[in-house]
Order: sequence, then structure tokens, then C-alpha cells
Amino acid sequence: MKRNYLFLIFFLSIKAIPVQSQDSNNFAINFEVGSGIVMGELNKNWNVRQDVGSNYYYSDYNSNSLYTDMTIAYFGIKPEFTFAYNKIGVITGLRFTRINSNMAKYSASEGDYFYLLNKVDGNNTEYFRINNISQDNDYLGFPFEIRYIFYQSRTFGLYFKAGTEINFKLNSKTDIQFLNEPMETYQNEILENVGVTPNPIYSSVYSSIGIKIGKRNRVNYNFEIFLPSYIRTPDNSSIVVPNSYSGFQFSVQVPVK
Amino acid sequence: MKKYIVLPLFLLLLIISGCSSEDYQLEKSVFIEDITNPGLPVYSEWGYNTFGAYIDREVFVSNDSDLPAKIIVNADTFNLSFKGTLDSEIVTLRFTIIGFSPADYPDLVSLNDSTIDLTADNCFITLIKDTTILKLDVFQGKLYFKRVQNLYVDKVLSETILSGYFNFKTFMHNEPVSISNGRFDVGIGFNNFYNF
Repeated sequence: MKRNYLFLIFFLSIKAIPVQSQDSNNFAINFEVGSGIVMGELNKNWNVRQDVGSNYYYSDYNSNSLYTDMTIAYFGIKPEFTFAYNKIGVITGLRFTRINSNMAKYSASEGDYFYLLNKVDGNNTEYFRINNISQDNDYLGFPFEIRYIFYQSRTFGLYFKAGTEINFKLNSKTDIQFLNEPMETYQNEILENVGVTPNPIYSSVYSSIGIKIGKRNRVNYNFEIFLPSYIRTPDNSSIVVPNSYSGFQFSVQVPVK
Repeated sequence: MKKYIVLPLFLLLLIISGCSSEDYQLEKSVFIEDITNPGLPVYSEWGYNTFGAYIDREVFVSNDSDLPAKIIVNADTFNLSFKGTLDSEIVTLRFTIIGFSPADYPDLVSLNDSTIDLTADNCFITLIKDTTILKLDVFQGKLYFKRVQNLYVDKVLSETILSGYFNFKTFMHNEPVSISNGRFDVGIGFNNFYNF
């Protein structure tokens, strides 16, 4: 009799497990931070005298060369709704993004500078000597993502994610560091002459592959690497024309019951 | 007593340095090869301190060690000299125009968009190699100042940039020779403008 009871308990336990697995709709909140490096080239609206070397692009590490860089950093809060046995997640939310870009010579830290053509007025041409130009553009927006967990064990999972986002500019700040400090009064004139203002809209498409660590219905930790991703809107930086970007993201997923 | 001498001298130096800005970076040559004319610099108007031409098939071109251009004005004679390398030797090609005498380098802007007929009576060309000075008998050719501009760096006059083309035909060693695809982009300032 005892054996029958034991068998019944065991059988009901086994039956209970699939019942829990079939509870496939879940809701969680993700807290994310991420960063990316953008591959690109100097916006040709900046007329730089090429004493910086015949190839002044990012790929030339000659200390006499000009380099440009563009990075994306963001944080956000994203609700996620999962279904199909928690294998598929649909994610949206709110994200703050800062796009930073720079232009300088590799030896700028030693006080080196480059010549920027400001304007041509009849027979007179004007250059300024510049140490560094940097720009920060801040955006607030909405990501839309779909995540597919293609492998899941008790505490570990692998997933693929694809998404897009649309963001709206909050703030833009450009700083030109002149070799000759009194020339700072001409910063606005230079920016006007360059004629590239940051786009009020920023949108990108991206995909990533990631790992998630944590048990089901518990706090999970996700780490993902971006596959080559693309900025879809022009002029999110006045300095760099982007090609693609890659990076990483870390997020904490908190289940909501 | 010493401070009465040092202070005025210091002020004088300040005044002189404020009159024009001589930037070593601007004096360097920036050679960007013209892919359609191998060996020659690309035509530019940035004051890259380069010039080049084909003498028949040989390349006559500026180098990194010699000052690529000088202007010498003497009385009413204007001389524009290009010094560079031809067949591993240092050679100077000098264009002389009689009747044009700018007082100082900013006055060179009067040459903007002007063409000099190198066969004119008031114009001749000299080739200088070591101590040998060869006056060239030009029977066809032009010197074109496409753009001449005064360059201000940080709002201070720095130099005058001469950019343009030249080509001509002459005789060397009793044989007709063609100097073709000549181009120049040079900065003229305090260091390489002479009027005496």
C-alpha cells in the first residue's frame, strides 16, 4: 500500500512538471546598458588640410594622421512579454542613447593640431588650427525587439535577438578645441560653414547573439554581442558618416508575476 | 638700465611676431600622387608646397628637403623659381617676367586667374643645374595661375598660395623637348619672397 502511495506521489510529481512548463506566457522587466563602436569615415563637409598624411582615416595609426571615432552608449528599461514556452520574447520600452564622435590627430594629446578650412572669401582663405572636435548627441526613444531562445537548460540559455529603434534628439553639443584659445569665439561660425546639423531622429536596426544566466521565473542576467548593425538615419553625427557598428549589451531581467 | 633695453626689445619681438604667422606645419610639403600622372603631385589649392612636370618622360618634382618655390623681385623683374629633383639631380626651373614687380607677397593675388604667354618678349625660362645656367628658347607654352589666395591662419595673414599649371616646348641639347603636365601648389611668405 505504501509503495502504491509512493508511486502515486511520484507519478503526480512528474505530471506536475509539464503543467508548470506549459505556463508559457511570462512578463519581465529588463534593465539594460550597452555600448557600440561605429565604423565610419570623416564627413567631407569638414575641409581638413591633408598635412595629416595622405590617408587620414581611422584605419591609419600613424601618429601624424587624423582619426575619427564614433561611439554609442545607452541605458534603458524594457518590458518583455514571452510566449511559446518562453522561447520567444517581444520587447519594447524606453532607452536613452548618447552618440559621441571625435576628430583629432593621433598626437593631439601632445598638443598637435590640424588645419581646418573655415571659409573662402574672394582671394582670401581662412584656416583655423584645431586640436580636437567632439560632439555629443543625446536621444530618447523606443526599441522594438524580438528574442528567440534557441537553447535553454535549467540555468543557462542562448538566444538570438533582432530589433529596431526610433529615437528623438534631446540635446546636441559640439566642442571645438582651438590651438589658439581666443579663436573660440568663431566656433559657431565654423559650425555654420560646415553646415551639418545633427538629425533630430535616430534610428537603427540591429541583431545580436547572447547568453542568459538564471533560472526560470528568477532574475536572469543577459550578456549579448551585437552582430554588424546599421544606423538608418543620416547625420546623427556631424563628424562621422557611419557604415556599421558593433558592440555589447548587458541586462538584468526581473520577472513580474 | 638693462630693463630699459630688455623691455622694449621684448615688445618689439611681440609686435614682429604678430605681423604674420609663420607656421612650420604649413611650410612642409604634402605630396599626394596624381594617379593619372604617376610621379607627379595631384593638383591642389591647399598650399601643399609641391610642384611637378614631365620633361619628355622624366619626372621633375619637388622634394622634402629643398624649398620648392621662391619669388625674387629685382627692380621690375619677377622671378618664380621651382627647385626640385630631376633624374636624381637638384635642378631649378625659373620663370622670369619683366614688368611685374609686386612689393610684397600679398600683392601676388593680382596674378589670380591669369595666364602668362611664355613666348612673349618680356618672358623667359632658365634651367639651373649645379653651376650650369641654361636659358631656354621657348617656342610654345603657357604659365597659368589658376588660383592665388591670401591665407589667414587664426585670423592672421600667413602666406599667399599660388596654384596653377604650366607647359611649354623648348630646345635642350639641340633637340625639341616638351615640358608637360606641369602643376604647382606653393605657399609664398616671408621665408621665400625676396624684393631687393
